[in-house]
Amino acid sequence: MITKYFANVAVKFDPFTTGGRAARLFLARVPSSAKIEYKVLPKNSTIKPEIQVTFKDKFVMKADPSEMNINDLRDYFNTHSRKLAIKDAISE
Amino acid sequence: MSFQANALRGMRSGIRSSIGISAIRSNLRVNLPFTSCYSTHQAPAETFEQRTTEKSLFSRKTFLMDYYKYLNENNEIVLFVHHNNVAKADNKKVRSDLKKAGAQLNIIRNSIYNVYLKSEKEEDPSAKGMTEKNRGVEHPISPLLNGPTAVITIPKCEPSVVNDVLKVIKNAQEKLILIGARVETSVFDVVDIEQFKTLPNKEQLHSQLAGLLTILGGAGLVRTLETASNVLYLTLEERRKDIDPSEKKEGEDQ
Repeated sequence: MITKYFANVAVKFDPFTTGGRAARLFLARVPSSAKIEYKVLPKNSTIKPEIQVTFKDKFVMKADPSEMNINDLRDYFNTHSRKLAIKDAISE
Repeated sequence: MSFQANALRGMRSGIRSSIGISAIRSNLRVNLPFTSCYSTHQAPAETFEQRTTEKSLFSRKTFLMDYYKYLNENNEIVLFVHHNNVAKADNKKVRSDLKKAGAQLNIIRNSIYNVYLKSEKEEDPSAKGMTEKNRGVEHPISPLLNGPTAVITIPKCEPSVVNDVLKVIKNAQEKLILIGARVETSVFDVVDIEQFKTLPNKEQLHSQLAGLLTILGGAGLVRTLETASNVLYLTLEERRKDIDPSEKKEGEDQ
């Protein structure tokens, strides 16, 4: 996963459900340069688990960790990271 | 006692000292003979070497299984935290703060911890055949064992200590994320822990209850509790009285 362009990461997850796995594996891959906000949901909470990433160009992407595994999440966030990477390469 | 076993024992004691627990030594004296290197007390070395374990006896996996068993059986509260990019300095600070609060941090190996949890109820979870026997067991804590996980162990069930530990976790910001806990035998989620930390401890609750019973209508409660046995006594007494005259009559008839 290209994490270099992450500015803000906000994660809401319930560790006791299957979605917690993807969310925690994702959190573990986020570098300390990105600002992390988190909310641990209790059991049976009505709030939906969510991962929200704000990129350095203010672009916001959202994903639901309970429907995606870590590979899906990686591919999903890479789509925008790659664009930024290409832009960077061109400007150099 | 072979040379190899001696050498391995030395390595094992090295592992122990790197973990830095002095308490484990006294606990493991019963079944691990390496303490005999340090003390005059002779542990039963022969029986230890005869222990049949799933993985090799001197392997790290067996050691970790034994260590997790030790942690779970000697601590009433086990908090599970997700750790994230903890730098060396932070790590040191968190550990020393937790030590001051009366707790201890251990980074765990998820798969081995899971295997331990599955055969938690066995006498020796690392014994041969236990993993196969308990393969299908679903432990309520198992979902927490994904990604980087650590456990914070608290020896006594004291909500005030939990409160201190939560402050330390909060100071570490997003580096340590509390995800769940095991308090005695029940599994807590984040909200349960928040409620738990505000409770008074067991002694205070006991004294409160005793106070309530003595002052506020305690006599009434005592009477209510006594009624069942009183009624039973009276019924039996009546019955005895019923029987007694008939017995007398029977005696007279004969």
